[in-house]
Amino acid sequence: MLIEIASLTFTILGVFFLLAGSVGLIRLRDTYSRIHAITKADVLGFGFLVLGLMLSTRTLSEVLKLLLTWLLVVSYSSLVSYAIAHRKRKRDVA
Amino acid sequence: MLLDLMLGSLLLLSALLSLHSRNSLKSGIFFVVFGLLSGLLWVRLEAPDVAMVEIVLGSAVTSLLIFKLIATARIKAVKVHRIRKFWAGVISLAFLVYMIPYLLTLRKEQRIEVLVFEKLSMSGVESPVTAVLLNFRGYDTLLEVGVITLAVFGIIALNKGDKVYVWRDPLVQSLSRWILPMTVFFSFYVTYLGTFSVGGAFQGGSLLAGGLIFLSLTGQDVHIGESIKKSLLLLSLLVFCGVGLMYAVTGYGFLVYPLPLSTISIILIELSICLSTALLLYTAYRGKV
Repeated sequence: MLIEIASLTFTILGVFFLLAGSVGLIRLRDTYSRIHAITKADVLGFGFLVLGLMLSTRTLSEVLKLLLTWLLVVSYSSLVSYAIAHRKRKRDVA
Repeated sequence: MLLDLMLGSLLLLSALLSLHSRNSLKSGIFFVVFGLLSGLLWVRLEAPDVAMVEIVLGSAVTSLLIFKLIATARIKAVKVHRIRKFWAGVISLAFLVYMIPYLLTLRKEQRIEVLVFEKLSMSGVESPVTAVLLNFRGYDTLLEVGVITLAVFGIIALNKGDKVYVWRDPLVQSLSRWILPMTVFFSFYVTYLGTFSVGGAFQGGSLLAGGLIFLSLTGQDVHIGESIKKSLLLLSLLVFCGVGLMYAVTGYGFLVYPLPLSTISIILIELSICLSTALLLYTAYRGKV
């Protein structure tokens, strides 16, 4: 029961952060702040989401798979934001 | 139900946007979104195998090919004639109307799945999808493999040595190198899973191709000799035909596996398809061996 509540709380928290990030991506003015919003919210929101899902799994292998997914998504999302920021700076300088 | 409706309408929306945006880059991006959404929809339809193919191959690898085409060919958005659009719409609508009563009146015993599950124990694998792909319908898969191989050789022949976009950033390069072993591991894992669960050779191969293409996007390459690469391209066709002919000569019939040997034959073919698909898609992206 306690685990279920914790799992649900973490999931909702994760969804909230992802939503905030998406709103930031749409509403903020320039590219840098957009990247800032989406990357931070992505890492945090997805982290909470995975944490919530981990608490609702039964086997260890599922937990490990979720952890691996989290690692991959975090590394890729930071890489993508790095790529966008890099490109934007190059364009601004030139 | 609500989720399915939302996914379906988003799918339609992304398809429309992909077809109707003036910018070809935007079209490509919406095509990626379309692939992802249809993958999710396949999951909802309890077809995880198709979902995997759709996401890995249809959304990731194909979109890379499309983006490469956009970057090198510098085509403007393709303008389709209005009459042609009209006829395409009419034919699709007619097909839909034709299919709806058929789908609604389909009885359980008419479904193919009953037949497949009846004969599953004779196929040598536990996954119904793999059983259909490599045992009951082996011919189709063999021809598919042949078509991919031929297409890639066509791409190699047509290659004019266009410059490919690379981004030699040290951070990205090291990340792509770090990720590759994991990709290799998972692609073989997915291929192995195909014998008894969700997964398969095409999914695994496309996964591996994705890792290799990521490597090549950062200006790196796998260090295998050209002749080895060429033979890997042909491997699946050779193994498939070889196994089929072997049983044909020994009197079972082409691609008819005897029961005790069927599992090992299917695993052998799956592994070769995984390796070849990866190399074929990678070669299709690079345009050269």
